[in-house]
Amino acid sequence: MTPAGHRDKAERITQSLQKCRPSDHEAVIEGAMLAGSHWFNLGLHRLGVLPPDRDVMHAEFLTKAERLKIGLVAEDMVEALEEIEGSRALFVRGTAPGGEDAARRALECLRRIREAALAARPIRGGAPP
Amino acid sequence: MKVAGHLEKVKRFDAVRGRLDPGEDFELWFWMTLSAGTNALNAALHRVGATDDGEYFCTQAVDVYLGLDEASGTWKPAIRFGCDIIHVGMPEIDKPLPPALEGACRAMEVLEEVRDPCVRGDAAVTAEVIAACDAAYRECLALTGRVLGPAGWDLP
Repeated sequence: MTPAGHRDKAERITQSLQKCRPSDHEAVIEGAMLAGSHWFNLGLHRLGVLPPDRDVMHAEFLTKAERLKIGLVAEDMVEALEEIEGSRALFVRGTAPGGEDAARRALECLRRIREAALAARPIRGGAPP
Repeated sequence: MKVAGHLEKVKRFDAVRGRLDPGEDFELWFWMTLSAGTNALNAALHRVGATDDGEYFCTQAVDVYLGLDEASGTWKPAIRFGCDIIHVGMPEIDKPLPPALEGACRAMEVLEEVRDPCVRGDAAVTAEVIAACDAAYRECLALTGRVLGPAGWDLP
């Protein structure tokens, strides 16, 4: 998917998140995961780590080699997406206490992913796609 | 997860779904639809004994669940079989299902087929796609309701 397509999707989902309340912690975490994934892919395409015809569905699905490489060029971006993804089992699919706090953290992680993606520049130089 | 826990999730996802516009907010609206439907299906699967209702929470790795370790008070992953499903077919259910739940699974497959192209990808979200998702969701709730309703469990 093109970088512009990822940006459109991420911005639409973020706009939809405005309709959620803090108590909707499952929806907030899921929305942050979806929007964060699109920003993450935008960042990877801009860095030149992945071509636009290859997207990552989840940070936790990265191979060890991919995780190492992305960590070297965008550690905060990948850590933030991992944190969102790591909260889903307990608070979205499960009923562990602390869902609202997890949702607040997810939104902060989303902000970090967006910031990193927009700041990303090709690691081999040149203009970002 | 217990039936009551799944049904509470259905209500919570359905409530957010009701505040979203299926066109303007398609991605999150769809995700609430998918999540509510999956929880309704999990509740019904537990009700008929097809899957285990233990308090183990699905991770993204099929058959790996988080459970509370009472001694340490921390959540620990473990391999388990026959617990909550993440999506239809993940994991496969190895017990026979009543016709209503076979139908609910087919309804959920309609949603699953939309997930990657229209949410992860940039396939066009048409009025037909939205209508098909809405119909599949309602079908899933109606069919799981046939199993849950007689036991006194209500769905939205």
